[in-house]
Amino acid sequence: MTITKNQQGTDLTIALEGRLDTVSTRSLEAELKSCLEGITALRFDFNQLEYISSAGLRVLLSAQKVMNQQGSMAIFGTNEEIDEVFEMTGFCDILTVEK
Amino acid sequence: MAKKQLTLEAELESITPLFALLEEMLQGEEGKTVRQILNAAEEIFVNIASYAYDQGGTVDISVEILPEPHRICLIFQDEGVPFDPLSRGEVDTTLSSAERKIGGLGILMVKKMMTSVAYQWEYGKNTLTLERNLTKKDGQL
Repeated sequence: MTITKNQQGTDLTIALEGRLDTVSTRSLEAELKSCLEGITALRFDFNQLEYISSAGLRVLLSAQKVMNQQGSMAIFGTNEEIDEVFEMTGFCDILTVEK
Repeated sequence: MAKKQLTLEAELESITPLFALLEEMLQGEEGKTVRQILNAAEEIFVNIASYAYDQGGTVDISVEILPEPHRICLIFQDEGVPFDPLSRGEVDTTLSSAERKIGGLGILMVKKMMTSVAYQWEYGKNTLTLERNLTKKDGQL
């Protein structure tokens, strides 16, 4: 998986490409730990993301909890499978998914 | 019909040959179905790699394409601690992000993405059987 970050002031967009599986989730987790300080708007670009595992969901949930305290978080560019995963796990109600 | 088997170390990093095998056997199937099967296989493998053994062990995996209905059958066997992942309580998917607990999501996803999931403890092995009906990309069964 490739992680691309684009920060403008306190806005950060993270683009993910490939599979957010259990192993690649670890790199995302490490990135998020180091880069969320001072961020008020976090956006995830999922246009090139094929699928998300439950480990990936857990990292999104932690990021959401952090951003609840300091600003906003949104996800865009999700494919049909990822939408279904968000639906089946109820994550569609706790995350902001832009269409 | 095709059937293949492989034995992997029960470690997270050892999953790659399983992905490769599934992609090979599911060639020509709808992309979304293939990705859901890979996703479910990963959840199961990760569960075994994370919890089955204290000091390392292996996972035997068999993958078979079966007819009537056209489907894939995946069997995971390990000799670790007896554990039925299906016996866990359902995750409450209606809680807010602040209330959400970590865990149980993988099995929930597997149950929803597969046509059937069954657990058995037999001959000292945890045996988890997953089936998913397949439709060829061109819509023909």
